[in-house]
Parts: sequence; structure tokens; C-alpha cells
Amino acid sequence: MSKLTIIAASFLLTSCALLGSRSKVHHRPGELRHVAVVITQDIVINDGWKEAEHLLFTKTLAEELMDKKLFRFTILNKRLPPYAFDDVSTSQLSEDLKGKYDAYLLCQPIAKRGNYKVALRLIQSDPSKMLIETSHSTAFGNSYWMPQPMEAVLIDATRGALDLLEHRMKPQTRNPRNQ
Amino acid sequence: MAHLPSFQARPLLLTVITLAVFVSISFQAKSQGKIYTPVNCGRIITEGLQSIQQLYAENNRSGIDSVLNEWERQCGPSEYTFRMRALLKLEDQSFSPTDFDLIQYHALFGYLEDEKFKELMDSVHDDPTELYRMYFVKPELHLGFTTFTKNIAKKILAARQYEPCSTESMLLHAYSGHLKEFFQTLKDASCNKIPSNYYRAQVKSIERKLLVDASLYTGIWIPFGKNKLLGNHPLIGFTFGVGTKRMTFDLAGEFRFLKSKSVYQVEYDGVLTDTDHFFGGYFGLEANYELKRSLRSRWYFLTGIGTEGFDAIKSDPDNDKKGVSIFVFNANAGVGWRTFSRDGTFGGVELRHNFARYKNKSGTNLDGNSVTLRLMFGILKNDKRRRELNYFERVTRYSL
Repeated sequence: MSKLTIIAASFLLTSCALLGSRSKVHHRPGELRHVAVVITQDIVINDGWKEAEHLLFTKTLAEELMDKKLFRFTILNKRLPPYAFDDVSTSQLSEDLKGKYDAYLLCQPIAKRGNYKVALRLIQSDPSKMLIETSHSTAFGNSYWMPQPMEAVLIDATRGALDLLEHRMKPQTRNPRNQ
Repeated sequence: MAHLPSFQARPLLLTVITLAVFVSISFQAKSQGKIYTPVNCGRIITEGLQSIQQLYAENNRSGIDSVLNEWERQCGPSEYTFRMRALLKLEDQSFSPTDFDLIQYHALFGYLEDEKFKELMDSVHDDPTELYRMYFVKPELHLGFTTFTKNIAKKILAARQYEPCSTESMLLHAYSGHLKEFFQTLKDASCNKIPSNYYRAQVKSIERKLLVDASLYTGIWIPFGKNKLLGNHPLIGFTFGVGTKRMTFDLAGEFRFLKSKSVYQVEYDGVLTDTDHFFGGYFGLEANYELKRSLRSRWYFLTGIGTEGFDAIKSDPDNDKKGVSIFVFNANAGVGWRTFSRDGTFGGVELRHNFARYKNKSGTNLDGNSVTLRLMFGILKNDKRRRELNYFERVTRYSL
């Protein structure tokens, strides 16, 4: 093996771990008193896993947000289709939320070949503007030496994205929970 | 070669074989007096949950026992049957702590998880009805039955005095919805009753799970004896191993590059030959022991043994010429520091003193030790362990 190959392989392997999480702060959020949590997800009738996915995703979101105490939140009983993740800020829902909530958190789980990517968008209601975007993909962001159950992968992806949101909202929280 | 049936004849053949197998199985089952009829556990559980409440109101204990026995015979024991049996025994004062086994402990945790889920969703979801339909098979029945058992537990608690640290008291607090009292006792280190012991054993067994420790590193190898003439060399390497709470054990390998600083001599085919070639390596077993820890970083002592060396003259396989390599035993020790991110990845620095004395027969004296400086990037984590601990921490928390 040439020296160049060794160096290139090492660089690629090192990069992988850095590619799992992404975030962007568009505007630093002010005080958020009450935030609506909106889930966008494939809705497939009579698909057992999709139902379980929704249940587990909602449960994990609720537990993590409760732990992090970033803001008071209410999970809305609305499941929007995946395309709403990009369009919701211009939709009727956005109009409906104005006045009721300071912001809304769009949450989307995407399954991909044994891994999950969870994307979050925190959007201010009035005037409507993107505050923070985060995403976490288990394909690059977690150390799975063996294939994991999809439930576990979804939990890890959700936590990864919310950890990053917490970090972006409260930079002082960089607590290594895994140790 | 045997003549195979034609393509058109195969469906008929398959039908005949399938029918023959089916008839054969049916005949065998009938001859043994067993005709398989699927058990409708959904119906049994639904009827069970309803009739138990009715029979309890009528004070018909033998009726409840029959329902529970039939339920468990047909569909196996469940959290509902464990809960009901435990409460009836507690009410009759016939409960013995030894009745509470590991299966019931897990069932109790399932019950607590359900309670926590409901409590959480009631507080943060604007309409959790749909979620309850997914989570509980029959939410109205489940919630109704839980209210019913909570009332029984509350009634027993009000009527009797139990030691706080007793299996009876813990179960009654859990089933009556006094979760704070239950979890306080469960986690109380001085309480050595069965549920607390199970809890501690389970947490300990999760904590014992090893972490994955892996890293890639770069750095520099600095000789400082007579081997100094080889010069400093950049290196690249990896570690892979396992970690416990305070220690890590790894296999490590590294390569050292660039030519030697000065020309040196080695014996090659019985002749002393000048060379400035250098391609070094190290392969070893390493262990770290944590000395100091803060929220995000750790200081540790490190040690290792292995082998290190370098190619002094390149081999030439085309002309069937062997090269010259010098390899020696390496023992090393030093200190390290790692800083961790929220997901268990880390960046770190390690400084180690290598005790390795190169023996170069009649060539240049290369005796001397060296220092290695590593800049590392890696992971020290176990996602499964984290999930399991997180689950326990969450379920046993006093409040939302």
C-alpha cells in the first residue's frame, strides 16, 4: 500500500465521523415561550412500521425536548407529508400558528438503508423566519460496528439532531453523555 | 437422465403434493386428538380485562382466578395477569416477596414505562388519542383497567402499614401511581429488597458493557539517543480496542515516513552499505488509565508494549533481492489528554517515551530511546449502552 493511499484512507475515515451532524444558525432565537412541534413524515395506511416509527419518533422527541428544557412545547396532532418540510413556512399551517406559538419546530425522520437521518427546523412564527436548522445521520454520525435495530437507529438519529439543536441554542451544553 | 414433468404438468403435481401433505398433517393431528385452532388472544385479553373488573366487584375471587388461569394457559402470562395476581395476594395478605421474580420485575418496568408515556403525552401532546391507539392495543380498556388496579392498590395502602423498604410497599406504591415514593425506595442504596436488588444488578450489568475505543492519529517520532541521526519522522496510525469506565485497551499500529536525516550504515549481503532510506512502523498493545476527569476532558496515564523498527534498505522483489529491516522490542509509557464532544467523539494528545534499543550489528550505532507525540481523533462510546442507561434513567426518574 502506497503512503499516499494510507494517508488518503485515514483522511476519509476521519472525515466520516464529522459528516454525521450538520447545523446552521440563520438567526439566533430570542426567548421562545411556547413552541409547536410539527412532524412531517410519510403517511402510509396500514403500514405497521410507519405507525411504529411515528409513535417512537414522537415519544423520543417528547422525552428529549422535556429533558433539554429548551422551551415549553406542544406536539401538534398533525402529521404532514414530507414535502411540507420545505413548504410549511408558506402554508396555511404557518398562518394558523401565528399568535399561538412563538415558533414551531419541524421534525422529519428519513429512513435510508438501515440508517436514519433526522432533520429539524426551528422557525419563528411571526414574522416567519428560519432560526436554526440541524440534522443528524446515523450513517456517518454513529459508530455501529454491527447492524442495529431500526428502532435504536431512529432514537440515535433523533437524539443526535436534538443534541445539536441544544448545542446551537445553548452553546455551553457540550456534555459528553456517552461516557 | 430422469424425465422431468412438463411445465404445464407441474402446477397439477404441486397441487397433488400440497393436498397430500395437508391430508397427512390433518390425519396425524386428528389421530393425536389435536386439531389446531388459532387462539384469539386479542379476544381473550379484551374479555379478561372486562370480566376481571366485573368479578372483583362481585367479590368472586375464584372466578378471577379462573379467568387469569385460562388467559395464561391460552396466551401466556402478561403484565396484566402479573399485576392482578400480585394485587390479589397483597389484598389477601398471602403475598410473599419471593413471588416477585425477574419476569415480574421486567413486567413492572413495562407497566411503569406505559405510565410514564401516558403522563408525558398528556402533558405535551395536543391530542394523544391517535398515539394511544398505536401504543396501547385497546386504550380505553387498558386505561380503565389501570385505573381499576390503581384503586385496589390505593385501598390496600390506606388499610395497611408497610415498611417503606419492603417489596409489598414498593409494589403498592408503583401500582397506586405513587411513583416518586417507589423510585426513591428503588434507588435507595440502603434498601436491599428484591426490586431494588434487581434494579441495581441490571444497571450494573449495563454499565459493565464495554465502550468502543478507536482512533486515527498523526504526529511525530523524535529519537534522542544515537539514533538521533535518523531524524524526526512524521507518522500516521490507528488504535482500536475497548474501554471501561476508567481504562482502555487497544491495538495500535503506525507508520513513520520520510528519509533519514543523515546517511547511516547497515550490513547488507555481508557488506557495510550506506543508506538514507527510512520507512518505520510500530505495532503494539496499549492500555490507558484515567487519572483525572472533568465534564469534557480526561487526563490519563498510558503504557504499552510492542515492536517497532524500520526498513533500512528497500527489498527488490523483481531482482529477488531482500531488503534490510531492523525491528526491536518496544516498551512505552506516557501521559494523554482527551476532550470529548457530546456524542462520544474525541480529540486528544498523547506523549509517550519509547524504550527501544536498535541493534545494528556492525553498522552505525543506532542505540537510543525516542518520544512519540500523537494528535488523535476518535470515538469512545457504545450507543447500545447509552440507550439502555438512558432508558433506565428516564423510566426511573421521579418526575417528567
